[in-house]
Amino acid sequence: MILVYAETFEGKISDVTFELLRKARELGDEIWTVVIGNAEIEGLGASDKVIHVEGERFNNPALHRYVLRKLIEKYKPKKILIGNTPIGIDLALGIMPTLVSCVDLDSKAKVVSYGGKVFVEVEFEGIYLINRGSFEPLKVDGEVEVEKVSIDVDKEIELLDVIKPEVDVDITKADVVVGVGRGAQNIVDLAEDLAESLGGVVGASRPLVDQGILPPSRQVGRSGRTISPKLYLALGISGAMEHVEGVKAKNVIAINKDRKAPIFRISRYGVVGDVEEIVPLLLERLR
Amino acid sequence: MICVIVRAVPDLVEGLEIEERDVRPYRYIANELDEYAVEHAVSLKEKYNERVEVIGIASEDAYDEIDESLYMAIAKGVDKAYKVKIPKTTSYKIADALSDFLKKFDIILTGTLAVDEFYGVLGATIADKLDIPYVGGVRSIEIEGDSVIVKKELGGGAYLVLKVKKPALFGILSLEKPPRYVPISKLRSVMRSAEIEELKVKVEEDVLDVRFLEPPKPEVEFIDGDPEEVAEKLAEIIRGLIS
Amino acid sequence: MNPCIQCGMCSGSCPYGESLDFTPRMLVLMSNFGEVRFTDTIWLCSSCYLCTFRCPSRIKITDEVLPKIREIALEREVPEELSRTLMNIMRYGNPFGLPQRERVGWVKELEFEVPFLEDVKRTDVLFIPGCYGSYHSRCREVTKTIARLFRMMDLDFAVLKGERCIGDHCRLLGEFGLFEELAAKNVKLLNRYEFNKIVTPDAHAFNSLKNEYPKFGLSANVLHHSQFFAENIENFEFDKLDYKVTYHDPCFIGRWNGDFQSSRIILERIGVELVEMKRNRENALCCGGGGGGIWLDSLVRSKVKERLSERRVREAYELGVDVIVTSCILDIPMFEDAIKVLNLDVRVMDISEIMMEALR
Repeated sequence: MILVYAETFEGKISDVTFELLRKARELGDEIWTVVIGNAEIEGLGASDKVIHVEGERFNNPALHRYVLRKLIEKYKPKKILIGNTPIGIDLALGIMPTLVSCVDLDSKAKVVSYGGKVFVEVEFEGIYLINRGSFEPLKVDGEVEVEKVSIDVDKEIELLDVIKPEVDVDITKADVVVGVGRGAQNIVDLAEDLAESLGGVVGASRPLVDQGILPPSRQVGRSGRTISPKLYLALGISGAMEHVEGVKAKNVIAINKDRKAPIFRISRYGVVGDVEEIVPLLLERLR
Repeated sequence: MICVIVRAVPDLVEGLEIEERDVRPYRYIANELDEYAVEHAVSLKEKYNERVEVIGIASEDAYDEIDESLYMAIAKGVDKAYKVKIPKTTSYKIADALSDFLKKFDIILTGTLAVDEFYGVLGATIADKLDIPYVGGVRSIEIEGDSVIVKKELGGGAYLVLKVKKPALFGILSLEKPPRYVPISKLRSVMRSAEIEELKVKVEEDVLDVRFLEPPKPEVEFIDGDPEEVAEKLAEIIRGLIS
Repeated sequence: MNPCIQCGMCSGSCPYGESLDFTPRMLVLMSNFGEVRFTDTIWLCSSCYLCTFRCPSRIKITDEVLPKIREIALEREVPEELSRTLMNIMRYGNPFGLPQRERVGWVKELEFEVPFLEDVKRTDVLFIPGCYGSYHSRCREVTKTIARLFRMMDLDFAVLKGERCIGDHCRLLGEFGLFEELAAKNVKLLNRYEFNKIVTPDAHAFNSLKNEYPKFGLSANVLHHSQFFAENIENFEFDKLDYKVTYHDPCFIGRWNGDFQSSRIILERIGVELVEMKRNRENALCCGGGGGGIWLDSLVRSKVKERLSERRVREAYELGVDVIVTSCILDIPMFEDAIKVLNLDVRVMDISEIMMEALR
């Protein structure tokens, strides 16, 4: 049996759960999905059974590791799939081997480690903390058997408050950052639309911040923030060293007039062209 | 009393030599998030007058290199430094060996993760071994009587505020203010006067069956064509990358 | 006790004077009474040397009074961008936190080989590009240009794989311990080999190698690249360039070391039209990069209305020039950034780059 941990926050199942279900289905074993806390159970049709541990107290994600520990002792699953997220990472346990930053698991598990500089293949069975975006989500509506289980946890961790982000965005935490440089200063509005359609935010190089076009919280680079999104779309950014130092993105796509612009040295895909021409066309297609 | 666990890890700046069965670093440094944990501990000392000890964990190769970070911790205000030599092993064996030493502390801090850590999470493992609460991803800590109030990062600028009964172990992820700077003259004078005690505990070997591989290196691929075509191809690539 | 007469010449001269919580005059006075107060504007000083140059009592404000106060400030709260940079220098020997072996990475980008002094043991000219010249992508272009000019001269030259940060900024930032360690390491390395002179395009490295390193046991003939090329100008046949240019006197070549001529000799020889900015030679306005200023961009932005680099390129631009020529390698990123911020259309070139352009 494979146990999939449904990450919930404020009563909603997080998207990463459906990615885990895709892989669990592929593995072919029976799937039990565990939902901890009060949450609306939906889209879990890919699992054979849902274990629901209810209770106001378990709306506190910090207690989930103790609930999971008891469930493991009770049901003895072979594999446990958890999203490698800020909540998921705390579910690494001392009672069962845990593999962190997993990107695939078949006969062997694959892990990205050493800051992305090394891939590791390992014989493993236990708790897999799986990176977001490793699998296509599998969200299936429909009836699933739900078993309500009650669990007692003795650890004293109390949730006092949930702090929501302040009005301005935190570019260091975004999955997609659309970067605007001097070459894109006339299309900042379009860049905002583009970012919005990709579920991301707009970052900027220094000149745009200095000109007051965007606030300092948006500045990427040495004197700004370091970003590590899945995608950094660099528009009209030449890629001066001071800027590039702050870009630790998985993928960089750059659009720039100058084929020799240093930004292309850190890019996976490049377009040599005018952002004012290409961005509107791109936006039409991504909206 | 507070203890901080600081691990020597490969210095990723200097790079690595990847062999099938081994990863050879050119140099070791202290794990950055563990050094953040030292910062938090020193702040707690300043604020609540807590005694702070630090324990350095290093393999044979890194056993001398960890000293600088431990002396740096002393220069920042840590009261006492220990170090432990480890063989090729895992977090589980380290937790087994250290739990006896660690049980006298009521707050234990370390980095949420180390850069070379993929098999087990040391902080979580030690906490479970000691059967005390564990919270990772921590950004701030305050002491309130027999409890600790922490802010845990959820990403995207959101936080959980948690009240945790002591004793407890916290995995540190970030700092609220920049790390203290230790001028080199101060560091050198600490190195002359302070001592690091070698902790005599036996950490057992634990060798995993692993293969190490170079990650694929993407080179820039230029997308050519007229603007319409380019936009079309680009849209497709972007959808693929963010899905 | 310093012989300060409290005339205020220093405060009046300071290009960031209006942004300082405590002016140089106040700092000099307080340091006479042993109780110095300061705020984070202590980090604004870019070591331009105007105050010291003009001080009638010859008080070493830039290189003694201020660094001593900064030494105390370092143990209190240091701006993050600065502490990160100093940690990088401590750990990796360069402010960028890049690996040592990449220091000579630019050599591979050349169409000919440059020997390493560690291999050949002796050379005529030891070329020290400095951290910016070695690691900074734009400054590396200057380094390569200089190497090509050396090659055209058939010069016997070599570079060091083991060169570390020369450390002039560390010293002026009050991180004396770090400076001393860097100097000791570099001198130990340098003394292992034979060479006739050192040439460097980094004005700050030049200053330390020439004036500070002798205290650590270096006895070498140290030249700035502008001085070296001015001395050897007969080796080059230039085509006249039809440019209108202005020359920015780097603080560490001009005021600090009294050389206002070398680059002007070269420019005259190339035959460009040289127009002077209002503030030139000993009165030149600093680019803002010295004394650690290049690492304190955010702090500077939060404290001043307009950065020095911006004021300086504006001053140059108003002359209607095609090119701002400089000979300090830090000026290039400082000025190019300022030009982007102000959206101006003017080029920045190192003296070696304009030489190369006149040779094609």
